[in-house]
Amino acid sequence: MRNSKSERSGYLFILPWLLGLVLFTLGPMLFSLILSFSKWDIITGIKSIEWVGLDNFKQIFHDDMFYQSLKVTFIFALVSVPLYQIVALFTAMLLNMRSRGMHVFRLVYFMPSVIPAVATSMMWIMIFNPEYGVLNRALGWFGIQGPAWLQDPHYALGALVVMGIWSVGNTIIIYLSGLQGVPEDLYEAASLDGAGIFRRFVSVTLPMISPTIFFNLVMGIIGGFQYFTEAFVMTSGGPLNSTLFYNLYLYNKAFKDYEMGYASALSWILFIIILFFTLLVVRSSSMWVYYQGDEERD
Amino acid sequence: MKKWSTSLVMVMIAALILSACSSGGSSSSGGGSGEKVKLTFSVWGDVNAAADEVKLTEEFNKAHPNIEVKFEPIPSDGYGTKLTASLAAGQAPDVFLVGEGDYYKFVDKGVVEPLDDYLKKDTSFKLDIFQKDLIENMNIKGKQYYLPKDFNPLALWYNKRMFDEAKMEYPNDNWTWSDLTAAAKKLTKQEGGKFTQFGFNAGKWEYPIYTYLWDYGTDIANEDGTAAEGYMNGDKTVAAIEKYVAWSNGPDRVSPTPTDTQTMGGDSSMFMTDKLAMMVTGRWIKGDLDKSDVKYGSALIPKSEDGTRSSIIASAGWAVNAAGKHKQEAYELVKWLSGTEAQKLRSSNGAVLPATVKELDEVKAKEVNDKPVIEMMNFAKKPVTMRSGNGPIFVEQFTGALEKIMLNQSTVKEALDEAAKNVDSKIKK
Amino acid sequence: MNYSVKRWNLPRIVAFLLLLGGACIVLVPLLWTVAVSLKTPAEVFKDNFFPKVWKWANYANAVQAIPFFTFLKNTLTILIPVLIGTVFSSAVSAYGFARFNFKGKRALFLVLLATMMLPSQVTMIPMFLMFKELGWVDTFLPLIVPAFFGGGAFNIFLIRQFMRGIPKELDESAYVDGASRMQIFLRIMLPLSKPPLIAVAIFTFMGVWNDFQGPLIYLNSNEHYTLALGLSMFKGLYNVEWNMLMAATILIMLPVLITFFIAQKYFIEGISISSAVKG
Repeated sequence: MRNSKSERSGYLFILPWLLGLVLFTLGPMLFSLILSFSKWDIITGIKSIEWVGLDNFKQIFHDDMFYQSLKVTFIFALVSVPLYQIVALFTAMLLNMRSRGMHVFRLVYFMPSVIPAVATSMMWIMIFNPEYGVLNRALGWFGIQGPAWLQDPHYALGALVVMGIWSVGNTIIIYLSGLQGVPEDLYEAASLDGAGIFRRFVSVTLPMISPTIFFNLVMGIIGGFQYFTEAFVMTSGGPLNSTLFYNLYLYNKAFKDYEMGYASALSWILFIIILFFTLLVVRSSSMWVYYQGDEERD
Repeated sequence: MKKWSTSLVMVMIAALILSACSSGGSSSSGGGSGEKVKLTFSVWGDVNAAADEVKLTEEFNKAHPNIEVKFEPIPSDGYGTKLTASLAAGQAPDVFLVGEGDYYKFVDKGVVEPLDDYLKKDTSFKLDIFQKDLIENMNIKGKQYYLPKDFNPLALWYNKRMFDEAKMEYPNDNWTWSDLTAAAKKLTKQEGGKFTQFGFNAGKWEYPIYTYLWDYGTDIANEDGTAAEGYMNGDKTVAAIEKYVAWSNGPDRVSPTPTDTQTMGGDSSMFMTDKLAMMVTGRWIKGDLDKSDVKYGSALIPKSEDGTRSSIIASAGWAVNAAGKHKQEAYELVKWLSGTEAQKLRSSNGAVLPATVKELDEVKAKEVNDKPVIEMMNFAKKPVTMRSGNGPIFVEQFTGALEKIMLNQSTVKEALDEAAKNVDSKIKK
Repeated sequence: MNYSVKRWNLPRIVAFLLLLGGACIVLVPLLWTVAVSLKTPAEVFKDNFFPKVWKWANYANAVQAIPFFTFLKNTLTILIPVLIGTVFSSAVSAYGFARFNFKGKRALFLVLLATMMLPSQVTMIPMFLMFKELGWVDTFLPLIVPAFFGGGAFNIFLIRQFMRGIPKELDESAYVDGASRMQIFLRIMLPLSKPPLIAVAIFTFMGVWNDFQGPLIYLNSNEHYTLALGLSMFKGLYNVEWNMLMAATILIMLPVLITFFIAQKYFIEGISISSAVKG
């Protein structure tokens, strides 16, 4: 459908977003790009912005904390992105069963995502409590002596990963909505061909929900690299900087040290990193994402 | 096709206008009431604290027909972020509250207006109504930048029930640190290899550590906060820190480790549930303690064997925004908010101590638990954050080193040597 | 999972048990929250899981301690237009991306993704400066208006993914029958995209309901505060009123849960449409 009329209506339909991009998004992005080449002690107001060229970037590459926060963030993203996807997809498939009472289960699994992240974090501080926490008590039943979780530099990051599993409700919902779009007759046809559960999953479910997987993967990458609130509330980056996430370090630079220029430079480095991984997924998508509606690539 | 897209745009515009009207309406200020000067002021705070400021605002507006003040409290969680953002945009309130840890920093950045000129012109208002140490606290580089809202000196708090049970005498004003250690040893109990109660909390919070260092004649920085070498890692500091961490280390410890403390819900919960007998902290702790059934008392923080005793006054000061448009009026407001009437109102229910001499003396005569707390003011010294713009660098490195030491990742000497080196190299930049 | 199997066979039982186990794991922390919300302050850090005396008054106090209904009204004043704006404008934009071919589409789509990649910690101040220039500070406008311009990259992306999975023959045959693009969008695409649209609505509801950072930065006056901001007033600088905080948290969660419970029924109905279409 590529003719001039269709082109025009295409632009017309994305117009709301395009306008929003120009009006509300590009400006602040550009501003922060300029800031990344400047020094700005923010509490002194905009008149004190001062161009310093590449100084921020030069400093960043000699900054130990930069490398530490990068390491923490990469480990987290590498583990949590695939883990959360698998857990969420599996749970969504269970919740997609047709059965009485399933709506109650859906509600239960969705509940954690309704609680504000700050309240969730407070709750988990109690759960991870080495002595009184629910988690170590439960481990105790199996004869396992649980670690000090958030207070142990070897376990704190792992604890945050575990906690994240609890709140994958949003991802579950998106998978559920993707699963709803899989026509039932495809399963029936596969069943008639003698396909078992696993076979049906691989040859019907996976390709049909590949657009949803694509979506969740991209969003997972973006979210994983920008992990912030829980670490901010629960560990403030400790112990021994073992949970110093990139965005947490960036926030401290901007709002504790007031070095907004430096923080902006940090943010654009993160931008490039996320962009790189997203492009990797987008470029590979032609090989594994199947759209019923068209054969176009992303 | 065209018709549809036009109507789509129309719907969106209509919705936009609608939302603009519904919210815009309430924001437009009344106007028409002459040439009133409009001021805003902000505090961090919870629901309970805001009520007093609301009342003070109403009274101020009544007493000053030419000024209209609006009170805008900010949730404690977001105070730093919000104030920073509004200062960056030049939209900050005319008067705002600053904590003692930020006094120097805000002055250093030129964000806060010095009040000396206004005070000089004002014959009706004298600083000597305030507690001297407190005013001194708010005097930076020889100028008065802040006036007090409230304050919290550090003191020693003890759990009476635990002392009674051990048939021991309560801490008194002659205690040295050795007396405290001896008592703490008796109050620490183990059952089956597990600690069930601790005598004292030697935690990782830097304020009590500073007072301990001062008692033994040392500090983490030189007086003007320009050097760490020989201070943060000086022999006296290393020796004092070794003694300090020994309290919470090893099988003979008398203090919970930071991990233990977090495990048991923080030092105040441990204290309230009779698992901790003594701790050094600010008076704000009373708010928590009074809600529980714990029996507690307060005493002077112990002195060193040579008689040196130290404390820190945590305080909140009112500041006039240096970029504000109506600074004279803002000064009037600060005066009102820190004045005698305001102090009386806020301290009437015992939640905070009054900053004025006369009212403070009245409290001292009446309140047994507040007496040592108020006396601790006389021993107050300024931590490095209140002496230098480099303060945050010292604190960051020092607390980082402490964390390493307390998690047994490094010896005291090594960690402090490294921290001192880092501070000095960062300051040079 | 196969829908045609309705009998209780082994895989089904296993699946059910798994769900049950997971539900317990999910519920225990929530139960704890409820338990804390009913305790006295002194009891919060004691060993007992459930309160000795159930203090239902905490809930009444939480409502009275803050101007609950003013905050509720403010939250709804923001929520309703944002909900309408987001769902509609993200669906429109998603349709543009999913069904049309135009120059620079792939580049624009990447830009769409890229707008989510810059941490909000650094775009916040420039945004604030911009809304200040517009004179929108201390009004609801900065929190409402952007919703009408695309409704967020996340939502556009989500709906676009779903729309691209809808067979093209559907709208093409309608187009041949003389329907306009807008008619196709409204009569075919929108009804078929119910599941992601409801998902977007739920997320938006939650996002606005729980947003702390936005209202914190843009709203100054107490009388403009939202529920999420009001809730945080239970946390002082030194002490947290845990029981009150949790009571208020639960009060604020309830409407979202009820909405989800109602919405999910429609969510599930989506299925019959897509299979009918295919057949």
